Amino acid sequence: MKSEHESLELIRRYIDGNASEADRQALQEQLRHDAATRRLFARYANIDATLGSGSIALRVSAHPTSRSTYWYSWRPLTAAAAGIVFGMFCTSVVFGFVVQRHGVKKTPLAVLQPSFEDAQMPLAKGFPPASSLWTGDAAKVVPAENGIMPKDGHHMLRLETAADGAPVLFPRLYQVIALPPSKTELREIEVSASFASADPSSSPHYSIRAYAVTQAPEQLGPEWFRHREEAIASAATGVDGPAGSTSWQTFGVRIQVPSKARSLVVFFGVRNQAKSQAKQPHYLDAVQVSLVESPRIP
Amino acid sequence: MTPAENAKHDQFLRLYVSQEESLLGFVRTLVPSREDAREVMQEVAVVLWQRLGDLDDLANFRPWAFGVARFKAMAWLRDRSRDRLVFDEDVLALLADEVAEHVDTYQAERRALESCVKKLNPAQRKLLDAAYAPGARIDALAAEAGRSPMSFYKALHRIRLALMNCTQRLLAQEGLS
Repeated sequence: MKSEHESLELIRRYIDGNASEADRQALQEQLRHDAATRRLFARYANIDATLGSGSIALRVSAHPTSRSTYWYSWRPLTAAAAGIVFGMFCTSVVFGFVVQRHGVKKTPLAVLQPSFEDAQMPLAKGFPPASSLWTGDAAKVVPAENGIMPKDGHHMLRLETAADGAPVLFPRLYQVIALPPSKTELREIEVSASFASADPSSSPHYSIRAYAVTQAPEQLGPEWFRHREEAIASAATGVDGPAGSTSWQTFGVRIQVPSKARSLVVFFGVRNQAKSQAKQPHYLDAVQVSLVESPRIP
Repeated sequence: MTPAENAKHDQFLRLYVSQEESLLGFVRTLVPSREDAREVMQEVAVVLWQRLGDLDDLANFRPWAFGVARFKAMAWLRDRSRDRLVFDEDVLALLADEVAEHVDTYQAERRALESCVKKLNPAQRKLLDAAYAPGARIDALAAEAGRSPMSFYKALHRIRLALMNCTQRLLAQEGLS
């Protein structure tokens, strides 16, 4: 019989996804024959689930800003660039224009429906089966509603808090972006978006994540998100929705992408920190994904 | 929605929210990762909503919901057992029984956890916050902190153990341990 310390280490490896097949078998035998180990395992999983559920405030300060967060005062590029949106593919794919600010050159990458202006935009469930497709939990393109005006253009994406009447616990959206070939070993890509909530009492926490992967978009299956640790680079940031306010929160994250990366998976999510389910939906708008080139130091 | 549909929706939400965390902890015990648990929970919520009318007595919502969650988790695991490190069904059944038979104790432990998290120092809370953010990657967090992934996992483990000790002390004080 293993000591409790050894059992806990096996449990940790399993819960953290670090267990080998031998670990799994060893733990399974203990669980099969020892009620105390089952209790220990269930307690450890319970603690892990609760910490990950967002129901307990983990941070010390109510409104910290992640140090990898970049706040923007400028308007989203898409509206300003209306005249240079290429009409190819008859979609809202935006690419090819360049914005320079303080010497930093930003070249937007192709993002399907960055400001959700097509009310008929399809939204598949789960993880994207191909590039340039929004997928995730229940969502719908809507005009202004619930006191929320679109951040950019005339429409925005409503992230439903319920689907078929059942709660959606953590609304999330994905898109896989095919990366163009790169001549440089490392390039910087910036992902930004605006979030708002019609129910600020739910204390929403908004997050943006980006993962650089070596596979082409069509090689990423629905199981990919579970294997995201295999991404060659990642970056994440998040902000809390301001208490009692429905105003838009615009923020972004930058990721250093190695040249061998062929796809960028971008993830947008909302977690309610209040213990109750959000009664009103959250909104996403003005998504931007740009290559960032800083001026060379002479 | 009609007033009747609204009433049904509100009733469901009340019942569901009251059991949501217990169900999540239960499902988490059965599936390999938090992400897996979240996926199963979405499916559980849909089934509970669709079949709420089948429930004769709403007082039985909790055991019924646990039964649905157990069924959905097992089905989910069967679909993925070929390529995942999952336990055999007899062991999963024993784990499911353990949680289902002590629902109130695990619920009390979750309540105690909130107090215990507040007792952690700021560095520990910062580490927890980073590790438990949606989609967080431990290897990236470790690199950012200048540590190896294993040392990050170990630090996380020590915090969880401290929290378990703390919750156990609080439950013992309430006579629930």
